[in-house]
Order: sequence, then structure tokens, then C-alpha cells
Amino acid sequence: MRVVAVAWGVLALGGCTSPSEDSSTPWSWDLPSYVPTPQIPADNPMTVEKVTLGRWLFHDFQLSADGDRSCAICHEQAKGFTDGFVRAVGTYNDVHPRNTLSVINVAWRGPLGWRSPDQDRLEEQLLIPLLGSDPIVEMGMHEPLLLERLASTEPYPELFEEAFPGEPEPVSLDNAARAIASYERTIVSFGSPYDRALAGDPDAMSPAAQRGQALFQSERLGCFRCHSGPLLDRPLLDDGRVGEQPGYFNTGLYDIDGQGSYPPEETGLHALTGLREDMGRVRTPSLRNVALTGPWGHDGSFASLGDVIEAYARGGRKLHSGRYAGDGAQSPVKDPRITGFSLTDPEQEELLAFLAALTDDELLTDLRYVDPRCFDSDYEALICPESE
Amino acid sequence: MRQVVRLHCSLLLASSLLVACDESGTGSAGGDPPADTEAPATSGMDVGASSSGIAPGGSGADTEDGVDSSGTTGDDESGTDPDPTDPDPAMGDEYSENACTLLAGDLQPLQAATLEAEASQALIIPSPEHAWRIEGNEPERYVTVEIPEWEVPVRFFVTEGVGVEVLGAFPVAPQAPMEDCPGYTDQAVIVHMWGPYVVRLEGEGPIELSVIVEDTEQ
Repeated sequence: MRVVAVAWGVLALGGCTSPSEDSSTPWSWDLPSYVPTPQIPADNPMTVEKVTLGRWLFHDFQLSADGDRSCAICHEQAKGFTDGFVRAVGTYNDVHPRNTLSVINVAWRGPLGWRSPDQDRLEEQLLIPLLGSDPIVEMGMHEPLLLERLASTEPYPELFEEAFPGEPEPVSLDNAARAIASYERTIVSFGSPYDRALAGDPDAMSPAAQRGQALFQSERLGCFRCHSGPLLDRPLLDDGRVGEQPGYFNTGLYDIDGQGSYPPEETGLHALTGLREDMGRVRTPSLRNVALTGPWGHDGSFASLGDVIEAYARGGRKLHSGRYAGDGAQSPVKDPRITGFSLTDPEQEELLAFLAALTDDELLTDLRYVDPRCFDSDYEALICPESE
Repeated sequence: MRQVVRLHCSLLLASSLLVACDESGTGSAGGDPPADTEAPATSGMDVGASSSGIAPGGSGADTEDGVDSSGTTGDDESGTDPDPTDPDPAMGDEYSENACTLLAGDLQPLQAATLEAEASQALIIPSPEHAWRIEGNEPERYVTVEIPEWEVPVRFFVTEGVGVEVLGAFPVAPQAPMEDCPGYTDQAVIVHMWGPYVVRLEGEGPIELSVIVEDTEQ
């Protein structure tokens, strides 16, 4: 049996809210003082009702043609809202050229992908995995089939009406995208030991993690130059300000031909511009919850964070074997800041301890991000029932 | 394409662990929800480690168009004990027949890594339609097999004399010669959750490899 009775209002994610004139309930953010309220598209204001609908959609396998993919299965809470694959595998078993990015704190991300500076609107981006076939078929959905399923499946008709009151045909692709985007923007993580330390708790991070933070912020390692700001994904500019846009860098992961070439499956910005100087340039990812989101790198080619650190320490990664063997440290197109640094084994452990302190453990079990079908009518128990 | 078998688990409350599991899934509250699963967390700083090995060996190739598998086989909880009701893989079944046909045909060449940490360069999606030839002569080679299924048996058919170890998976039976396909062996493992699995292949010379996921929904 799979019927789940839900108290819709109670399932809403937010905290303090109040009804607006059009009966929608504005979303209320609850953020640390050092985190700015995210910029929300004017044509898709956050409401509790849209977030509630988006949560149902995010977890629904009906959103994939074959019923074997949902947004949540590839952005899994327990894995820091990633999928654990080296490179994502679509519903027809095609391999994506890039590693799956987390959707944690996506409301602040700006450009959303590894290499697409102009792709910053979540409502549009999410249609790519949902409906698209480039670079691969991910969910394989088609609009008519999606609308047919949603219109005929409870509780969607009611949820769409509540989320988009007054619309003659609220069940639409655009509205589904708006709702999913609204929900994804509520996946917020600022509860790590690092955050507690920022809030003034001197014991929030272990002594080793504190020493690791000092290394992270040292001129010797220079990690902060590219990983600054609340999400640790923005460059620190020469004038000391944190950049408003993320940086795109070639960090010397590959040099497969002596000219700095990356594997043809993914060449970063170069794939868009064709410019040699853009070879291997990919967006700096957030380091929040980084310990959860392996394998690492834009193509998932790092099996451990220790390997990542070692690559930076030597000024680029050396692959000793395989079809992409080569020494990225010798790449003529890597970023000039990737020069390498000395690091003792104990220091590496401390740096890893700091990266682990960026993990928000409560996020992994936060009930607000669990499939809403898993709760009883009083929102008191997880009952995820068996389906026949 | 078959649906994914999923275990829907959930969270921890307070500080302990979690909770409810739903074999079905998320499908949909009303429709016909495909089963779903949330695989257990793989947190930590490393990926693809731990072992479950069998005999050493492994190989792989990279494909962009893997397909799904079909078939049947035992699936025990621990993944370590063979189900006595299952057919002996060495005696042949639809999977070994499929693999034997593939291995006799055109193989996709693949250059494997010789270090475990570099295995992601050689990415394989299990397929009943493709098999691979691992180039080179190194005695130890590594590939990564990405398995987009939960709780499934996976069969590794490989050139005889080559050891296969699937790190993180659970062997169902010892690696055994394929009686109906001379020159090859069959290694069956269980994987509990979807994700990448590093495979160690031990043996010199070119290695021929077929990887097929059994269809547990047949």
C-alpha cells in the first residue's frame, strides 16, 4: 500500500510565514547573519505552497520516462545531494561527461554548472536533465507525458492549484519547473562546525581542523584565493573583496599531449569558446559539505580528497597510467596560481580535518528534505510504506 | 528498460540512525510509483574502496551507451553466500551465453590504469550488448564500473587466468571457468547500491571482459 495521507500545510518547509493577499504564503528565510538573502527571480517568488509542491516533484520517479530516476535519486540527501558516481549515468545508461554537482545552497550559486557561465536560472537549467538529450538523456521525460502523469496523480492537482492560485491551468511544465526550483532553493546548509565557529563558538572545530583552516587561509597554500565567500566558491580579488562571480580555472588536472589538453569528453570552457586558453577551465565548486560529494573534480576523476590536495601541492596532477596519462603540472595552459606548495603529512591531515568541518551533519538527516510520501498524516513518523 | 530496484531508506532522528525504509519508492503517491531507494550514505573522504574481493583481476572499457541487463539470480542479504537454488554459473545460463557471444565478437578496446586511484579513466557501464578488450600487458590493471542499479547481481566474464576483484562488492561464488565458453571465467558479485566500483584485474596480456547486470525483476 502506498497511499500516504499528508497534512499538506504541515509539510511545508518554512518557519514563520504569513498569508499574503493572493492566499500564497511568502517564504521566510532563516539564515546566519553572514549569509545574504539569495536573489530570487522576480517572476518566481518563493512561497510555501510552491516549495511544498516542488518537494513532491523533486522526489517523484514519475518525472523520468522509465520511472527509474527522480531529481532526488541523483541529488541524494545522504550524499550531500549528489549521486556518488564518477560521472552521472542517465536513464538509458548514457554517461554524462561531468560529475554531478550538489544542489546544496544552489540559491546562491549564480552560474549553475561546471562550465556554463550564462546558465544561472534554475527554472531553465533543471529542464535539461528532465527533458533534454544533450549531452545525454538523463530522465528522458517528455512534456505531454509529464503533464498527463501529474494531472492524473494525487495530490498534484490540488498542490498545483495551491501553488499557482487563480491560474486556469496550473498543471504545466513551467509551473512544475518553478516549483522544483523553489524547493531546491530551500536546500540550505549553514550548520557545519565551521559555521558554528563563525558564529562565535571557539570549540566548534577540533584543534586539528582549526590548524587546517589556518593552512587553508595561508599564503603558502593559497586555497582561499579561489575558495572564498560564504560558499567558499568565489575568488578573492586583488582589492580584498570576494568576487561576485565564480572563477573558471584550469587547475592542471591533465596534460595528455604536452599542450595541456584535457580529455575530449570534457574540455571545460574550451568546449564553448574553442579558445586554447579556455582549455580545462571549469568553475570553482563550493567546498561546503565537500567530504560528502565524492568522487571529486569536474569529471569525478579524484577518488579521494587526499588525492586532490596532493595534486594542488605538486602544482598539477600527474597521471601515471591510462589513456590520459600525463603531467598536469607541466600544462602550458593551467592557471598561473597553481604553482604547488610544500605540505607535510600531518598538515595534510589537518587540512582534511578542516574540510571535514565543512560538513553539515544535520543536513543529512533533516526531515525537511525527505520524500514527503514518507510521513504520516500528523507529520510525526516516517512510514515510507511499501508499494505493492 | 528495467526499473531500478530501490531501497528507500531514510534518516536518522536525533543522533542515531535512521529510519524507515521503503522498498518501493517514491514513485508517486497515486500513480504507479516505481520503487525507489535512497542508498545509504557514502560519506567520507574516499570513494571506491573497501573490498569484497574475489580472485584478483578485472578490466573494463569505456562506453557511452551501456544498456541494461536481463536475467536472474540469487540475491542474499549479506551478499556473501550463494543461494543454493541458483544455477551454478559455471554450468551456464542466459548471462554466460550472452557474454560468450559478445566475447566472440567485436570487442571495444580500452586502456586501463595501472593504479587504483587512476581507474576512473577507464569507465564501463555494464551491458548485454558490448564487451571490451583491455589493452596492455601490465600484471595489474584497474577500471571503474558504474552500476546504476541497487541490490543486483553483476556478472564479470573475463579471460581465463585473469583474477577479478570488485572493490566494494560481495562475491556470490568463487570465480569459476565457464564450461560452455572455454577460455573464460565467470565471477558473480552482488552490489547493494548504485555507484562506481573499482575493479582490479590481475593477469598479463590483453584481457577480454564482459560485464552484465542480472535482471532481478524477471
